[in-house]
Amino acid sequence: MAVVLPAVVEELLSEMAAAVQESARIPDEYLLSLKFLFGSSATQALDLVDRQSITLISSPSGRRVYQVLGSSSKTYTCLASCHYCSCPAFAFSVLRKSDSILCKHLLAVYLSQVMRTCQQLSVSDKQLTDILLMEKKQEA
Amino acid sequence: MPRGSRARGSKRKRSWNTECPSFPGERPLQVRRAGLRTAGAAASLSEAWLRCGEGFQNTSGNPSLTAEEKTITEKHLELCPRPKQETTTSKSTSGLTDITWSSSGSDLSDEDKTLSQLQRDELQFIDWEIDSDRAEASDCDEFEDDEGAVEISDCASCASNQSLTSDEKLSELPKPSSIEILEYSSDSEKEDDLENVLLIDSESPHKYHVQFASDARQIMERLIDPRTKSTETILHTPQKPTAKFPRTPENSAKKKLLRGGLAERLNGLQNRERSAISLWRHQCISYQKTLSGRKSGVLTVKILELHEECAMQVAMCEQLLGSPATSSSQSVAPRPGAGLKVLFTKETAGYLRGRPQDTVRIFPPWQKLIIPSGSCPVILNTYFCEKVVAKEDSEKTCEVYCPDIPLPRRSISLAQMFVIKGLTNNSPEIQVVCSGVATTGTAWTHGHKEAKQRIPTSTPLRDSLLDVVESQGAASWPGAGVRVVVQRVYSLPSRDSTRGQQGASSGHTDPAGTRACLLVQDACGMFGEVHLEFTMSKARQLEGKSCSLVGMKVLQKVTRGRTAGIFSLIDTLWPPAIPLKTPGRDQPCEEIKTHLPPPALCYILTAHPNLGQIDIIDEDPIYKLYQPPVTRCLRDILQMNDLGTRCSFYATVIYQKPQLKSLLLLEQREIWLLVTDVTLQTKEERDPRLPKTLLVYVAPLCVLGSEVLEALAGAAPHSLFFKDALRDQGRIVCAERTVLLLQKPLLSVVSGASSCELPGPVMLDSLDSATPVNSICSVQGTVVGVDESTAFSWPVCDMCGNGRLEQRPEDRGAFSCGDCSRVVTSPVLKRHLQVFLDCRSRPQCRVKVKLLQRSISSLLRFAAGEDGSYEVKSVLGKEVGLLNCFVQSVTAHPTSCIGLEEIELLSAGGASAEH
Repeated sequence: MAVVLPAVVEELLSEMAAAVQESARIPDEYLLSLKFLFGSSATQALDLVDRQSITLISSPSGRRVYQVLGSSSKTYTCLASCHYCSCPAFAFSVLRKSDSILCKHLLAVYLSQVMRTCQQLSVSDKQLTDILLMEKKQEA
Repeated sequence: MPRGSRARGSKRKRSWNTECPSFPGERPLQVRRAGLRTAGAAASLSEAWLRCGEGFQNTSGNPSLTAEEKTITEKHLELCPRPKQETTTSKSTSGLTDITWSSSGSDLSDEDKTLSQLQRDELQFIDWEIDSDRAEASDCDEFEDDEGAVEISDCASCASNQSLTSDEKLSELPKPSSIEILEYSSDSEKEDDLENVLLIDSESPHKYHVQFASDARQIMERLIDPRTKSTETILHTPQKPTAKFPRTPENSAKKKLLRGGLAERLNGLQNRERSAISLWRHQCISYQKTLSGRKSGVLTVKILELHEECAMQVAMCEQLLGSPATSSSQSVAPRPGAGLKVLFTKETAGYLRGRPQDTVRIFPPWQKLIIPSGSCPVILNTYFCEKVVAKEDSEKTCEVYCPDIPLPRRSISLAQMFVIKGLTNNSPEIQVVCSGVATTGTAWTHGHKEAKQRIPTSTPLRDSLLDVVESQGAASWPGAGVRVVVQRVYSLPSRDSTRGQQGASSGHTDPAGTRACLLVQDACGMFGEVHLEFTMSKARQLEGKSCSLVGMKVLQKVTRGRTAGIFSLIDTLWPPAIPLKTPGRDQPCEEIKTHLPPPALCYILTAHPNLGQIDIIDEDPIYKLYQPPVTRCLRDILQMNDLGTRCSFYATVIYQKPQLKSLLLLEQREIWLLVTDVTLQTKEERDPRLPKTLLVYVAPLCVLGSEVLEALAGAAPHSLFFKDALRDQGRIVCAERTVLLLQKPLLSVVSGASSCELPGPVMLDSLDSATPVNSICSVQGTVVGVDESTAFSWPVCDMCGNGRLEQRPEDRGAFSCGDCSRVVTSPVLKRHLQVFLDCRSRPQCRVKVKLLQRSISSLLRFAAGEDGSYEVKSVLGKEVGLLNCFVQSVTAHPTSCIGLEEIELLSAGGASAEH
C-alpha cells in the first residue's frame, strides 16, 4: 500500500508556491496546515527562511548542495538529490525513530524554494568537493 | 602545586597525631562512637545529660574570661614582632578582622605544632557550641528558622573567608598562609553539611549533637583555658556580613522570532489554535449544544482502515450520509459516501483512540486538500474531533476486545525529493476547500471564529488578459498568469531582417531573421500576439491548445487603424465560437454574443527571458474558443465579395515569376504565383465569368519556410496550402501572418475539395479584352509583321549549348567550343524573334509576342535559307497558336498594344501542341 504523507506534503508546497506566485503572500491556512504536518519544526523552519539562512551552492559540473545556517550558528549540509541532512535531528528523528518526514533544515530548504528566498552561490568543482568531504570528515 | 600537596599531606598527618594525645583517656572516643551507632542507649543518655549540666556551670564565670583575654593579647605581642605591624594595620579597619587574622598569624609564626593543632580543634569546637546554644534557646516551631540561620552563617563565614583572602592578597602575604585559609574554609563547610543532615533527619540525633558539643567544650576548657576570650569574640563574627550578601537570580534568555516574519505569524496562529483546542476539549458538551441547531461543516466519517506514517495517523474513511443533522454537510463535501483520507496528529490520535469501524465527527475548521493524482481528498487540521459513541456499554466492550494494538507503520522513502509544481511548471488547478461556521453570540464561538479563516477559491491563472496587462503596466508580470487559447502560429520577419539574410540559413529549419509568433485569445475575447524565441516547429504544436502565459512583457498596444494586418486576421476569428466571459462575472454572457463587436485593440507581448513561460494546460475548457482556418475552394473565393478578408485554400502552382533557380534568388522582393484548382479547371457547372487561373502575390513580408522555397525552386508543379491569405481586387495577397505550407498527401485525401490532381492538361483563358496584366492566357493568330529590331541569331555548341563559340582564321572559319575543347562542325543556330499577330479576339489591337525557341523553329522551318537567313515576307500570313503567354503589358495609348511572352507551364503536359 502506498504512503500518503509525501503526496500531501508535495501538494501543500505546490499550492504555497502557487499562492506566492500569485500574490506573494502565504495564507494563514497554509501555515496552519504546515504546522499540522510538521509540528514545531514548521515554526523553526520558517524562522530559518525568514533569516534567509539557506544557500544553494552549485559548481560548473552541475553538482548542487544546500547549506543551512542553523539556529545554533552551525552550518548543516542538505543534499539536493535526496532527503539527507547532516544535523543530529535528522539522524535521530528521521532515520532512527522515523517520527518526522524531514528535519527543520530540509523543510527550510523546501520553503525557501517556495518563497524564492534561497541564496545562490557558485563555487568551483574542487570547492564543492571539499565541502562534501568536510561533511564526511565530521561524520567520522 | 607540589608545595600545596605537601602542606596538605603534612597537615593531615598532624591532625591524625593530634587526636591521640589530645584524648588521653578512652572515654571521649567511645562516647562518640556509641552516640552515632546506638541511638537508644539509656546509660549513655543519662551520662550525656550530666555532662551537659557541668558545661553550663563552667561558663558562668565572667571575670576569669576577661583576665584570659588580656593574657592572650600579651602572648601575641611577645611571640611575633611582625604580626604587631599587621595587627596595627588591621586594627584601623575593624576589630573582627584583627581577631581572625591574629589566630591565623599565630599558626604561621608559632613553630610549636601542638599549639597550632589545638587552635584548629578549638575552632571546630566553637562551631559546635554555637549550634548547641541556639538549639537550647529555640522552640520546636522555630526549628526550621535555626536551619536557615545556620545556612546564613555558612554563607557569612564563606564571605568572611573571602574577605580575609583579599586582605592577605593586598598585604602581599606568602602563599602558604592563603593555602591554609582555603583548607580551613573547606573543613568548615564539610562540618556544616554534616550538621544540616543531622538536624534535618530527626530530633534525637540533634540531642546527641548537643552531647558532642558539651563534651567538646569540657575538653576545650580543661586543655586551653586562656583561649576562652577569643572564643567569645568569634561568636559575633558571622552576623554582620549577612545583610550585605547579594542575591542575583539568573534570567533565562528566550529566543525571539524575527519580527514580521512567517515564523512569528505561525507562532501567533499556533497559540490561538492551541487555546481553541484546549477550550474545545474542556467545553466539548457546550460546544455540541451550541452547534446542535446548525451542523454545517461537521464532517462525519467512518474509519475503515488505520495506519501510521511518521508521527501521523492516516485513516481511510468513508463519509457517512448519516442523520438529517449531517445532511447540511453535503454541500461542503463533494459527495456523500465518497472515500476520504483523514490525517490525525499523534496527540489527537491519542485523545481520540479511534479504531476501524468507529464513527468520528470532525468539527471545523478542518481543511481539505485535493491531490490531482490521488484517489480521494485528504483532510487536515483535524484537531477538533470526537468519536460518536452510541452506548457506553458498547464502548466498554470495544475497549475490552480492542486493546492498544500498535498500528501498522509504513515507512517513507528518503530517496525521493518532493516536486513542487509551482516552481517547475504550472500545475493543474487545485482547490483547497476550508469549511467554516458563521456563528455569533457566544464568546467562545467568537474566539473560534478568529482562529479559522476561509480560503477563497484562488486559481493561479486569470481569465482576462486586459486585467493583467492593465494592472501590471509595461513591466513583466511577476506572478499572475493568463489562461489563453492559441488561435494561430506564424512567422514574422524581425525588425532588422531582410529577405536576403534568409539565403544564408538555407540549411536551417527556420530562416534567420524571423521569429515565431502566437496569436492568443483569452476567455474574455481579448487577443494578444506573443513573440517567441523558440523554433517554428515547436511553436506550431501549440496551435489550438489551451496555454498559460506567465511572465510576459508588453511590447506594444496596437489599434485597428494602425495595424490592419493583425486585425484582418482577428476579424476572421470573430464572432467567438463559445460565449465569452465578462471580467468580474463568473458566468459568461450569452446575450451579448450576437452583438459583440470585434476587439479594437491588441497587445504585442514577448516572453521575459527569465520569467516568461508558456505551457499547455490540459483539460481546460478555453480550447473550445479555437477556430481553425476554414478551407475554401478557389471558385468560392472568387465568387465572394469580401475584399480585405482572410481566406484559406489549397491550390496548384502552375507558373511563377520570377523563376527561382536557386535559393540565392531570395533577394527578389516579390514573387508572383499563378495557381488553379479543380473547381476552376472543371468545365461543368462553371461560371463563364470565372477565370481558369488565379494570381497570387507573395509580399516580401510573408515569411516562406525552407520547404516551400525548395518547392518553388523546382520545375515540377506543386500544391500548396495558403493559410489566412488576404483577398484583394482580382488577386490574392500573401501578406504578413499568411502561412504557406506544402500540402501533405493525407490532408489532400481527407479534403475532397482540395484534390491536387488536376483533370488533364491545364486549360487557360483565351486572350480577350478582359485579360489583365500579370496573367496568363492562350493566344492564337496570324503573323502580320516581324519586329526586326529585336531579331537576331547566334550559333551555339551542339553538345553543351555554349553560346560563346570562337572562330579561328586558321581553321578556315570553323567554330570551336572553349568548354568542350573541340571544333564544332555543325553548330546549332539560336534565334530571338518577336512577331506581331492578328488575333480575332483582339481586333484593332497590336499583339506582340515574344516567341520561344520551339515556336521560332516551327515558324521558320521552310523559310530559312542555307545560310540561315530568311525573308520577312516568307513568314507573313502564317498561322500561330495556341500559345501559352504571360501578359506583360497592356497599353491603350497612343495605340492599343498588348505585350505577351510565350511561356511553358510547370506541368509536364501543360504545353499545348500546335495545330
